[in-house]
Amino acid sequence: MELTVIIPAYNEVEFVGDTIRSLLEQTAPPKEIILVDDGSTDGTGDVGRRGGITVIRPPRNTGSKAGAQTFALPWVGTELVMAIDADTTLEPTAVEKLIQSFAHADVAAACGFVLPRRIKTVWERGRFIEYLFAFTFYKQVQDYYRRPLISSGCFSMYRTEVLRRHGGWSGRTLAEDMDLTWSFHQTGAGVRFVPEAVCYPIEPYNFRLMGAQLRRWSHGFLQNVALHWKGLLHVPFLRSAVAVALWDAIVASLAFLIVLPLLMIALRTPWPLLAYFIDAPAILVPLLIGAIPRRALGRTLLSLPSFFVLRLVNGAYFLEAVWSEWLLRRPLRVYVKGH
Amino acid sequence: MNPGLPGTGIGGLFYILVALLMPLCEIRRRLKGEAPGRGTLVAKQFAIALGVVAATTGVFWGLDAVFTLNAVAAHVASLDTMKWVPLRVSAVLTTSGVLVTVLASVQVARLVVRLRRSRRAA
Repeated sequence: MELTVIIPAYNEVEFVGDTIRSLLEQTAPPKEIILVDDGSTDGTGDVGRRGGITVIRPPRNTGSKAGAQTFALPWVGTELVMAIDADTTLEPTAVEKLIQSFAHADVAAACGFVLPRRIKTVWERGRFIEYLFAFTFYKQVQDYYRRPLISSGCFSMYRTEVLRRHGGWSGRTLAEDMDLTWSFHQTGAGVRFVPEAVCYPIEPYNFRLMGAQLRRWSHGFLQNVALHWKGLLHVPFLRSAVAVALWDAIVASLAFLIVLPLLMIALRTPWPLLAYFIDAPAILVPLLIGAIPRRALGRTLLSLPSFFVLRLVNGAYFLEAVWSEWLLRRPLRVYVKGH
Repeated sequence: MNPGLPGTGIGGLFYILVALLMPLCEIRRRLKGEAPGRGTLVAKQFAIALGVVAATTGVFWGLDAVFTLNAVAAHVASLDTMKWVPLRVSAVLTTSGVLVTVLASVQVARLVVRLRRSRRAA
């Protein structure tokens, strides 16, 4: 099966060269690589041209990753199409592993294991733990029940014809990958998670970038729940997974940020502090199983405290999203890049 | 992206339960002749779920021990002690209750939506 890769890029001159090289060095190289230079001012397109790939440029900035990717869709002439972020590199066999999953005719989308490329700051470390935990445990369980919650936007492959039938990547929510995955599930199109296909994006390395990303993700999640909830109710497993994720995101955020501090003040005891990291041993189990084969045990143990910091910050952004999306009815529409 | 807050609340229990159910599902799939041979995945996720249960139980046993010692010390000092249900019992009961409620609500919502649709169609 032949493949076209779409790389949406806006001012990615620092990273896009690595992404292109990583694609050209694949054991199953794509037939064509299209870089969508979405109004960059830093010479991103020149990097693509020097790399010998197709570079296209919309008349003006499309305003979102979804817009840039959908702009490139008419150029795709292969059976499969893959979207990859301009700051993401791949294991040399990643494309080959994803293509294999399309041997089953019912598979319309496939995604891989995501791990941050750089793990230095507290934010990158927190994200490393979050991904290692989720992709080792939750996502593999979701895949077994044939309902991965999201085919990750940073690295996913699609059957072109099915993607076109869905109108490409929609900009109606801020989480286009979730929107597309849930639309696929509702129409019976299969989605697969392939843990052997590993990708390495650059994750937000400071609070400003992480905040922009968490804000977009939180609003995007709520927008998708509002958009799809009726349809999701008829998709076994997915309906339960989404309900549980939504409940936890709201209730745990309220508990962490409001209830526990109040409890400490009211009871004049530090015991409620335990609740912030009481699940550390439980989280460690999938982490160790994911880390040992990757020889990342030390890095995992060192990064674990950062996860609890990120979880708290994530909770704050989630509550803000609930407040503005659902209570004030002021949806976030502007796509702010946060890596 | 990753919705929710990994590791917290009912999500953890939900994934433990569905992971523990995987061997039964695998047997059913094989009996139907539809399993593509995912025994390794099932074994790995089942082991993770058991490990998470063991780790959580260990934490609650530890905390219960601390609280018990605390109560004994208070009793020795002739102070009133607060009665409590051991954490290992109360935490599991509370989380299970909430999970059942959330999942049941989803089923109720599904039935309501289906009923409305069939009424509109009629």
